[in-house]
Amino acid sequence: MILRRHIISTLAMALFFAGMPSLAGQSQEKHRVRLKADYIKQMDARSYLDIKASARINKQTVAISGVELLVINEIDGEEIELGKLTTDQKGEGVFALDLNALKADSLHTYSLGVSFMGTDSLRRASRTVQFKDAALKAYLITRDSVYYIEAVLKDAVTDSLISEQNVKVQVQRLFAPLVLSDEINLTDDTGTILVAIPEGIPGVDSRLTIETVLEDSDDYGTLKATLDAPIGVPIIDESTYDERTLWGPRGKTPIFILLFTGLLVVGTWGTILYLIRILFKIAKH
Amino acid sequence: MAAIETLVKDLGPKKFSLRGKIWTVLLVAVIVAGIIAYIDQLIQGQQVTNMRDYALWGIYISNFVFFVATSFVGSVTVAILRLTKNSWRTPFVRIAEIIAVASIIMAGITIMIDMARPDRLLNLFVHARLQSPITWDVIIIPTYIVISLLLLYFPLLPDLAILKNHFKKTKPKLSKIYGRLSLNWSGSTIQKKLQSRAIHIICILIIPVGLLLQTVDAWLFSTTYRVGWDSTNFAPYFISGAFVAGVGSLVAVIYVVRKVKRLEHYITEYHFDKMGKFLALACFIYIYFNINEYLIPAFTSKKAESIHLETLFSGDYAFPFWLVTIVGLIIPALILLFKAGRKPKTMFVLSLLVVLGSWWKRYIIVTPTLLHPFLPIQGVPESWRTYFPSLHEWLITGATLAMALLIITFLVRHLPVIPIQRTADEQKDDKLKTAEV
Repeated sequence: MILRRHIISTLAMALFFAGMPSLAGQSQEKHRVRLKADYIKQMDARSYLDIKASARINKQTVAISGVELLVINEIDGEEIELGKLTTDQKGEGVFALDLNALKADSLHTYSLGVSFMGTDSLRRASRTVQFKDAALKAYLITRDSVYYIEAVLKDAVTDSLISEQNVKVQVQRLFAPLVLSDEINLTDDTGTILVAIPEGIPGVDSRLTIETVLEDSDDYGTLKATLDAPIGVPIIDESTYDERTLWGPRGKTPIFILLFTGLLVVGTWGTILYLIRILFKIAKH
Repeated sequence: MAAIETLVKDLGPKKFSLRGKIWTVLLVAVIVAGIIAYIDQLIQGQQVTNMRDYALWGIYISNFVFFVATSFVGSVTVAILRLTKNSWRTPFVRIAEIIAVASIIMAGITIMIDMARPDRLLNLFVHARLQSPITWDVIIIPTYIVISLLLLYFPLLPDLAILKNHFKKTKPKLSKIYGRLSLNWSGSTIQKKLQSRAIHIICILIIPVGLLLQTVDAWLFSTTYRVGWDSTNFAPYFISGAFVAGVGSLVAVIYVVRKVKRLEHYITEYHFDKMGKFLALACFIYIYFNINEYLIPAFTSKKAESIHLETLFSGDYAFPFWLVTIVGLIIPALILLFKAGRKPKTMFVLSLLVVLGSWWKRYIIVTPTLLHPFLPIQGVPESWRTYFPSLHEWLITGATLAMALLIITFLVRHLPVIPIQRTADEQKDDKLKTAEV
């Protein structure tokens, strides 16, 4: 009787504790998701939304990877689905845009929405990006033997010049760009900036890839125009990658090492073989 | 013929005494302990050693360098003495050859022990970069093993034939083995001519190969840009050090063999005197190179080198450094200058000091340098900045040393430790000379 009671109470306890995780699951708090979306236009190339999803979990910002985001075009209360994208391991994703296929409002402003539908542990989230289409054109000019970058910023729809926008000029580099312009470099009434290019900037085959950037503008997003300028100091390639060196891979062994080592090995082992032959001769006689 | 029979009785293989058996069992026990430790190292990986990011070479490499040094001298000394036709070499050339063979075999095995993945040994050949001193080492060690074996084998042929005849009636099976190994040696003129030519070639060949072996060993260090190793002197420094370790080992083994096999009539005080002078010369040359290696950096050192030298002169490694330098090198060299210091017993003690000193010297060359890289290694535990071998490392290293001694013991047990035929020929020549006088 007592034994049976013990068994029943043990089973009851086990059932009770077995239910605990599911109870905990029910009261689990959903994490808030932050969506970041930037409109970027590379002149004469492509336009896209640069999207990043993150959440604050255990007081740390964590990238939300592998979630599906919906991109829509909002116009006069109407929502047109443009497509979906899935975030990568860094919680990032790029959504290519075709401006001709998008619809703008009467003020020529595009309104795009990015939304996340939520999961068991993450809340729903959305973000709207608004921008107007603009055009940034850069030219290389010379004045008094000094090279300048002249860039003109225009509204792409109305063709009107845009003033008072900060446009940076920089040289493309492997890790971070080399900024040539001042920190604040506003376009004038003609929508133009002019930045002198210092002498002596090294470039492969003397070519410099110069970027003119309108960065994170409230009205126009990010615009980037690049041009190749053959005005740099040529970089002399000192790499010995293709040469036969002592530090090269085994396929690039210096000839003298091959010859010297080869001769030593052949000479020594040739003599050893000759000595072994003598052993056979001794055995024969 | 009667003279040869006497020589065979004196110099030929003899059964072990009780002491010999205990010695062999002891060596086997040490080897078994080492093998168990090595199997555990294979299973668990090199985490069982105390080698970490700093001391990535430890006692195994020190031991390897010691074996290479010892093997070099055995063969090269014999070769030089043979080529210069020094007759006093006869009683100890074979022992030197045996030491050389045992040491170079163990050097090869030790380097494999140091590899965390010996199953990838073949990759050293398949993916060899000829610019790398490691590849040169991979080439030179097997080459040297083969040449050392040939140097031991060729002069043995007449003696093996003598042993074949000697054991024909008493031990026919053993006689058969000696007969096969003697390659039907009959002592014919052609055979003698061929043998003589072969020995001459090996003696010429082994000197540059031996020098290359030591040089490659030194370049393994000096091509690695490290404090204490970055020296153009390293190859001659290693060669001179090898002479000390090799001659020291030779003297120690000769003394033991002489005592155990009662060869006082063959290996006389005269031979010890000669070897003593040779050892003294080796010690003084090595002292000279040591001064070069430490004094010049002391004058020109930058910060990293100063720290390294300070560690050796007055820091953590000062005690072993000075012990090795003074007790293992300077004192033996000075004592050996006196005739009384070149007596067998004294020389045996000195040779032991020299050999022990030589072994620890390699440890001092390898370890302190690794603990002082030019750039400190970040994100590693503090304990990794120091190194002392683990029990596994000691057991395995002990086993390699025991294995070398076991090879020497086995060969000394089964081969004539002093060439019988050559001693007989020399005795005959001496008699003829005496008769002429």
